[in-house]
Amino acid sequence: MSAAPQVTLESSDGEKFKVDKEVAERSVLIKNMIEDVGESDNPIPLPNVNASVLKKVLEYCEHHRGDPLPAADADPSNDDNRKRATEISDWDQKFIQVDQEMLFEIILAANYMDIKPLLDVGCKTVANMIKGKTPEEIRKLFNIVNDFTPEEEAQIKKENEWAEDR
Amino acid sequence: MSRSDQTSTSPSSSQESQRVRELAFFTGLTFVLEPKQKSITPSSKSLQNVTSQLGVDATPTKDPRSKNYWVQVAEGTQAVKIRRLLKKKSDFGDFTVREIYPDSAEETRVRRHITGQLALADGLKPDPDEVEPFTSNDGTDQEAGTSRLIEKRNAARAFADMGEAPAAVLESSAPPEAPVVERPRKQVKFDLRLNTYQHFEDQDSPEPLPSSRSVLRAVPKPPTIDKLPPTCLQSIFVYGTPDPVTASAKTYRRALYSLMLVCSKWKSAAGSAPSLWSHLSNANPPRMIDACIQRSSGTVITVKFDGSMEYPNMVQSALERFMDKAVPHRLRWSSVWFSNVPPTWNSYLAIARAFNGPAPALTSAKVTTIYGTTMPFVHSLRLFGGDAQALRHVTLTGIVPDLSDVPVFTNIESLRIIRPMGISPAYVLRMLARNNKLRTLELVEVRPSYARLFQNIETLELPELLHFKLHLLNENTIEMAQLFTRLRAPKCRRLDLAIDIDHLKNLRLEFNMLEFDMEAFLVDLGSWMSNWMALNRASSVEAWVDPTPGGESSKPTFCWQYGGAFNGSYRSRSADVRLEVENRRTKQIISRWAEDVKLHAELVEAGVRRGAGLARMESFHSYRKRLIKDRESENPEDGVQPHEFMGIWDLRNQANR
Repeated sequence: MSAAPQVTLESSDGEKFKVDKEVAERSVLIKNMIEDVGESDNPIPLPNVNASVLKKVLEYCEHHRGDPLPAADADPSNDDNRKRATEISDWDQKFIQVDQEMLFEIILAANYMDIKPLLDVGCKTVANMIKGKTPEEIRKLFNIVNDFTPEEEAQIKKENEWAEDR
Repeated sequence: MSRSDQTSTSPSSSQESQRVRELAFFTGLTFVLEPKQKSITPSSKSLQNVTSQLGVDATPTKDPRSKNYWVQVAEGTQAVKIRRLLKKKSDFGDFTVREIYPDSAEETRVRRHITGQLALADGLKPDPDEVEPFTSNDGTDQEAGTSRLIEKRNAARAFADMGEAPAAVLESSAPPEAPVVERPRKQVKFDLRLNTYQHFEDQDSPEPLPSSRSVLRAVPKPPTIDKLPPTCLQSIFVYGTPDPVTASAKTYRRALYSLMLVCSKWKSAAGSAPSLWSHLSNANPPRMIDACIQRSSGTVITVKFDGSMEYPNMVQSALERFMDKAVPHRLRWSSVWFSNVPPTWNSYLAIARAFNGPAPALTSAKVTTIYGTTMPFVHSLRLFGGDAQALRHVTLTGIVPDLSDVPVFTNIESLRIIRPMGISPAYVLRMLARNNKLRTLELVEVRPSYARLFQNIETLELPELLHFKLHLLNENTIEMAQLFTRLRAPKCRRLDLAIDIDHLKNLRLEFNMLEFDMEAFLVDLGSWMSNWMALNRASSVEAWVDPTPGGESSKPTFCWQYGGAFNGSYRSRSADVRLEVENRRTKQIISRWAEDVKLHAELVEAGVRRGAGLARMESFHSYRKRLIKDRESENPEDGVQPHEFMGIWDLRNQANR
């Protein structure tokens, strides 16, 4: 029985990861690269992903290696997708229990590597964190600076008076 | 900085809880409990009352300068609860409660005091900044101290976000001459679900703490969420806002508004996310509808008008105004729902105008009148002139569709027509006969026509039909006899019939029984039959089992027949239930069921004679359950159990064995 074909991925800090091709191809970016370039022994560079994040991303891909790939036109604005917003599987929930820095790095990596299910898990996690919170609470949670001047803030409130109507 | 041996003793649990409280301070809120009467010291009982009212477990900290107390609460549901209490101006007994504004001088003072107390509790020399009460009233010093502390707190927050140690930050940014005794090293765990910090003594970790320089370098690091591109932010917003179709309009509006007020980047991302603005609803004010139309350009939209949101005498005009805004964007509609529409000619015209034109992106259309009232005229509603290729789900209440829009009806997957006027089921089925996608068909309170529409048709094939609901008004059902002798729906698993069987003759349905819920079907049928027998004084219910050759064959075809032959005599009516099955075991079950129907019918008939209403009598379902229980107690070995109805395949296997 022949071993599964493997590819080598190289993180931004030069660390190399050898993984099954099937696992790596959960990333549409890598899949396209392999299709374009053909199989070779040269490592595939991922200049936007460091080793610690890539390790985490590959852990996700490994766990979901057999899952069906999502449809290309799946849109979160779709009603069904929106309904599923809070639904994150148990394993994914445990996987995504990381500090904020790592969470956003994973989202960025998933976005760059085009791994939609992982991107969704990350976005849903952040979405669940902001649900029902006031702007001040959101700012505190993510350490965001309120860069509106009082005049701008008043202007936004005026423009969006409909929010309090009815 | 190395760990000191003399501080390696494990801290007591009170010290630990105090530390946790202190850490919560970095991300939490502080509330002041102020006695209403300044001259009197409040009792501990009244203090206990107010803390329990606020839902705070920890003991409040006494302000050394006054008779006030402080409580720290982590940001979250508890803080929201307290804020609600404050907003409601709740009575807190001997105290008034107020929140300390973050970064204010008062908050700084509270923090100094608590940090100083913490250091003393640890047996450490407190940082000069942390000594409380103040020994100097010099405003300049206070201001400098305050700014230092704010810096330190910000640094602690930044490090907590990165999984670093805030204690280390406090040390590193303290004046160089201040610390004499080194503090134990601490780590912080950030829990995303709870949004709280916990820290603990690190006894074993060999990893060195970051140097002062790296700490200072890290402080001005921008918040990490800022790294996300607008597309990711927009995805987060879509998941983070409630579903506009199901959530209340106000909840949805407030969620949008909150996002736009966070910062300019979020405002820009939310404002340019079309999918956040893709719902037009009359539950929103006209200005928001305008904003939605403008901001959702280029994407599909959902349209919902609910007449119950308007004043009763204004519904008509509101519908017309709403249509004026929504109809020009028909090409972008993905779903439309006009509910509680008045059953008037003007409403019909408004809807007909909306539906008169192509809607290529539309997948679902629903129109319901107030109380489901039938529109009092026969005028078929054209569905987008047949140009709605994506349309899959149609529900019309009180209004008749024009089924001549063939392209629409050949692709449709579910069709519900409720209380229409001037349309017959035979006509609907004939128009749908070419449909290979229809899975659900509901025709409720429809009047059959007298025309013999099926006479030239051999069979009506609906190969994908799973659910068929037919509620006929009490009229001539010859048409139904024609229908059911021709309808072939091999995948149908749910059949919901409400018809007057008086005139049905030799009807025969054939359905594939695979996964058919036979128990529910027999209970419904039995209930209906027994009531019918009782009320019509029918002479018998007869279970007729066809001794089909090869009875143990693999395909469990199940047929039933009604024979309601009316021979001129009221008393001699009969209701023959003919169940044609191929399985010996199933035959046994059905025979038993037929006996039960008969027994129940007798009871019902007796009740009716006594003058009791049907509603007050025991239902067939509960009667049968009781009967089976009695039988079980009499003969536990009785092979026929109610649950066996559920698994025809299992029964077949048992019979084969």
